[in-house]
Amino acid sequence: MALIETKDLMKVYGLGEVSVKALDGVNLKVEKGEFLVLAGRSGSGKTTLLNMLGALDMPDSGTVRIHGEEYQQLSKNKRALFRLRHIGFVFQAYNLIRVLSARENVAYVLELQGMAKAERLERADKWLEEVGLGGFGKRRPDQLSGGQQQRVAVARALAAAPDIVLADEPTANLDSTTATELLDLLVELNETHNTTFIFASHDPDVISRAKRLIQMQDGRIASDETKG
Amino acid sequence: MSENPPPQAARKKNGAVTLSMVTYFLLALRNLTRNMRRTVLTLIALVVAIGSLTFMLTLTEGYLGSMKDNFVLTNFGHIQVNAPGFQEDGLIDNYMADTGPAIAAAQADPNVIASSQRVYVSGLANVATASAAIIVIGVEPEIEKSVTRMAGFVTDGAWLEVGDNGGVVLGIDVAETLEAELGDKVVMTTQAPGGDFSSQVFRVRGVMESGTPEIDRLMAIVTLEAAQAWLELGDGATTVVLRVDNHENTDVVYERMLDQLDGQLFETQRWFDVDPFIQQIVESSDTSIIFILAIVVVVVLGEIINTMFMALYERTREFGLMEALGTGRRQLFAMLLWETTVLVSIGGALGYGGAAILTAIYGKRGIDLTAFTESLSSLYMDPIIHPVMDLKITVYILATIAITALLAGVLPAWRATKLNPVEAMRQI
Ligand SMILES: Nc1ncnc2c1ncn2[C@@H]1O[C@H](COP(=O)(O)OP(=O)(O)O)[C@@H](O)[C@H]1O
Ligand SMILES: [Mg+2]
Repeated sequence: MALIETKDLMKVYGLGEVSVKALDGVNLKVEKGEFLVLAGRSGSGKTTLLNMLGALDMPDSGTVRIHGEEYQQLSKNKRALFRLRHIGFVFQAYNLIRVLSARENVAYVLELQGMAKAERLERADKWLEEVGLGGFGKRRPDQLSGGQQQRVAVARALAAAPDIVLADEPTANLDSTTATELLDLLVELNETHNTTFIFASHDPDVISRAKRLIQMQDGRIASDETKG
Repeated sequence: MSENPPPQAARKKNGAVTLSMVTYFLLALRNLTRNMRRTVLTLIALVVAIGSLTFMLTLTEGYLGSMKDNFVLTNFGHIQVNAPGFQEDGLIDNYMADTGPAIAAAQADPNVIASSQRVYVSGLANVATASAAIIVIGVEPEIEKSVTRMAGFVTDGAWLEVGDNGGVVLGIDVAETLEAELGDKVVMTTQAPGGDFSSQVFRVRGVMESGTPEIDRLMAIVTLEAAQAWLELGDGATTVVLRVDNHENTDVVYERMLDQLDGQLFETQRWFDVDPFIQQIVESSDTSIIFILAIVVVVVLGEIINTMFMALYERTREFGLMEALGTGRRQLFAMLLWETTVLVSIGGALGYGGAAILTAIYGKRGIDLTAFTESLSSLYMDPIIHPVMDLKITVYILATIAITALLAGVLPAWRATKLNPVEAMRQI
């Protein structure tokens, strides 16, 4: 059984003549441990698809199965719980809760998962170390650079031990050196922990790292190639 | 390749999503300090509202309390026991031949501080050149001091000594009408039981000024023994007067007296049964307090709801993020409710605390209203108000704070749970 399997995903925005088919029949299987990039022009449906895979948004029709479970059946609250247990997110920017320090941001999700205080702080510190931010735990988001903030988001996503990490344009707000360093880290995490990563990005730097590259066009999968 | 091992707790399939109180409190506090200006402005509004409300309550408590005290302690006492019919017509014929059971019941009651016997009878006072209508009161001079303040109203001369059965203390207006000086003789005439007129000569020992017209214009106070002998009452009296330890206990003592004296021929009345005017003032001030309370709550409520909605809109993206991360609706709701509660609690505590300090200061010093004293004294009101804090006020304020926090918190909190994370995160 594939980790993720979608069938005929449809999503239409707007009504009548100005409606946009953001997703137009997407069928996709993702296996555990993949390092997948959704590429394509702006407006091609990358974010919409990613949000469906992460149970953030609901399709108009079609199904998404993760671990064989269909989240569309679930209530809003249950979907939040589903995300908490299965999905890690790294967004383009403003990933962090502003009033919490780096380690508190990481520990926040662990607390939601029910972990005791000492354990979650220890785990947060370990993951901050892992993303190269050992010693930055006490800093608030506004005391961290954009790249450091993205790393904290990565640490938070991975600390929760999700099945899938979804990253929407994670490098878009970073300079190229910082972006390269972040990507090195993500590739390494994929290889050392066998965590499944799915990106939405039109950044060539991200696309060049893809182990599987899907080109989106007008809400459809235009091409799907697995490298090396 | 090493797996990222899931933490034990994280995979408790049915473990409820939780945040600790500490986390909620921390988030609330830090988010409130995030926009310090707005928080401080809201706090000022809260402190002023809760503070002035509290102080107004303690002021009201103070002046109503002193008003009741003044009425009760000037002359009437908290409770009076009479023979049947006396309350109706005030006739001396309806006197109690034996006050023993009433005195015994009063002395046995744990909330009765003191009790005294009196004889009330109306009559006429004459000197060679003038006459005045009077109410003669026969009192137990020493015991009376622990029941009412009457002895303290003497401004000229002295209060009656025990055994001074030929002396009288006159209300100041009575004395002026009669142009009576200390030591002068006054002939007082009244009807004894049965209707026979009876006159007696008394010497003026003192003149009293209470500030209360009914007393200053009518009272002629003699000893109980003098009145009993004069009117041939034996050991009888018309009235037993009770002083209760606290206004709040008037009703319970009243009920117990009714119980005790049940089946015997007595009538019992509370001070406000006789003069409902003051009780009406107390009640109407209760009504206006609730009215003002409602206004304050509504104004403060609007202010806080506004503040919390601003906080919500400002952080829409962040709430969307939290939801994306797996925060449940309950947690989002609790987060905003906590924030409101912390804000209102701080403002409420400061307001209440400030008012409590003011009350403590002015409770000792008093607020002087001498300028208005002329019109106030007839209402048994002291020209100097001493605000009083009590448990009732504290409970009032606590309840107001709690209700305000809940009412103001619920709406924004509920709105937070309605956010769509995808839409929310589109916002910057
Ligand atoms: N909330 C929305 N309301 C209306 N149109 C939307 C909304 N979200 C996305 N779209 C439209 O759906 C299409 C796909 O958008 P998106 O998935 O964000 O593309 P991408 O991430 O590839 O840039 C675009 O045409 C976009 O304008
Ligand atoms: Mg996008």
